[in-house]
Amino acid sequence: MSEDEIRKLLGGYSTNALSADERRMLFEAALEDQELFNALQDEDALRELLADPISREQVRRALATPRKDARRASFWSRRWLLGVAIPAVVAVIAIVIMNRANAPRLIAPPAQVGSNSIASNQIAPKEQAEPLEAKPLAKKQTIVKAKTLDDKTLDQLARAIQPPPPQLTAPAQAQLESPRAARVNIRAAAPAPIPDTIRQQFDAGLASGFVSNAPLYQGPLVRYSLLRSGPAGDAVRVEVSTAIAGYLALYQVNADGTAERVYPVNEPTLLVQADRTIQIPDGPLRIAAAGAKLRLVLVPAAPPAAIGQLATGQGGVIGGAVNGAATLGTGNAPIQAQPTPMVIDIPLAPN
Amino acid sequence: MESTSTKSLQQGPGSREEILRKLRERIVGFAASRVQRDAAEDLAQEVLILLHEKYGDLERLEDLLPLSLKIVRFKMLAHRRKARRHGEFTQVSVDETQMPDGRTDALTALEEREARERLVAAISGLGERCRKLLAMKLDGKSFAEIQASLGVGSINTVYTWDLRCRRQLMESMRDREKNP
Repeated sequence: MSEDEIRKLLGGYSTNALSADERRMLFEAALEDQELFNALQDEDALRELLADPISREQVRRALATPRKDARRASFWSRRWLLGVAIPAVVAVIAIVIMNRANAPRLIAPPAQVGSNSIASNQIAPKEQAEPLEAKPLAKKQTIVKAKTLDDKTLDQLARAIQPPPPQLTAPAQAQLESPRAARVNIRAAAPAPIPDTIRQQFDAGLASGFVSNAPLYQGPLVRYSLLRSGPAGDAVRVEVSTAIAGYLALYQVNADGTAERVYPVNEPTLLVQADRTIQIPDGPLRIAAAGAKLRLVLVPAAPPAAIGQLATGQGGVIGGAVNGAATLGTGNAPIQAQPTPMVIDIPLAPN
Repeated sequence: MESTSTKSLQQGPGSREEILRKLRERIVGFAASRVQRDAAEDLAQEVLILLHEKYGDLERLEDLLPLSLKIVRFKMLAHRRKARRHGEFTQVSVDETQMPDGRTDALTALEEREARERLVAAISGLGERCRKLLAMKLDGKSFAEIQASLGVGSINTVYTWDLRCRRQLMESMRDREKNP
């Protein structure tokens, strides 16, 4: 008799589920096998208990009652889990405290907001408070006005309007909440493609354009703070907040007027999202040359008319006044082909 | 008389004498695993005497073996009772001197109740699969039906589960008997 048959017969014995032939086979096997006989002796005790109506009823009730420990133990009753969770929480707190202790000190004035000498007096307070809400409206108005232009003007307008900048992914946007996270994310994410016009603008600007002699921007759309570190405070970084998306670069301008780009290193510029704060460059700068200063350049990624609407509330006044482009729809000025860079000088006064 | 002597002379395979001889071996082996060897020999002898004197008319294995299992269990129970009565080993057992009145005596009833309690407690400690399996067996379902109900691929798996569950159940009952 095979093992499976023996198990089957033994299993049926305790509940009196065997036929006469099966019982005989089991007994014959038990008579020859001591181990099976012992097992059968144990099974017989169980069989008699289960055969008793009182016992059977009690067993049925016990089987119908859910196990006491069938429910999952609560979180707090799992001591091993607490043993893991508590050290993990302590480690996280320690890391946060250490990160805060090592954060760069803010020595320079917290924020320096300039104003464009031409445009600032035309900026309405309402638009200063709600710049982002005005963006869609400005785009809409631009399109409406463009409909009234002739075909030639429309072609010019189509060339002038830059494609919208590529958006970062949602997880990347979520990580851009803190300056440190922003830095990490910008470095980790694939760099956004830079339009050729912007690339050429920055390349040309380094040689003879906005870097050396562009009008300085002083307005609410770009804010910066100078972060000093090191024993003597001679290592500096710049924390930049932009209210608009745009292409950003940081240059070091020496006393003799020569300039070199210090951020970004491998590209002429880097796309930054609106309402984000980043710290650049990645490592602190040590500027030894006397009279040197930093120059921040931001070329808006949005169409020029939208920026003008955003800043002035008058539908392209800034584009006309600052960039040399007149208000759309008037028909008496050319369409702006390239967005005007916002140039901000950052003096490096002794600490 | 003649028939009795004829029976006693039957020694071939499947004969009553042959069955009793093998039964004695098995009973001694089983009892020796629970009590001392001498006591095991005595216990087997008592079982055989009872089978010979009281159940001399039974010849089939299907009758003799389950009866011997039951007698062995009672004898083992009586042996444990004796062991508990310190200093009374030389006295005649109350179980042996009193004539049964057909009703369950108080001690046996108590032991049966305790056994039921151990069984219920052991079942409460079984896993969910064992509980389902046992419930279906008590409902009279065959192993094939249990296999289909549990969605098991092989019926041998059901046999294995059943064997493990019963072992667990009986071990749990024995543990509770030793450590009430």
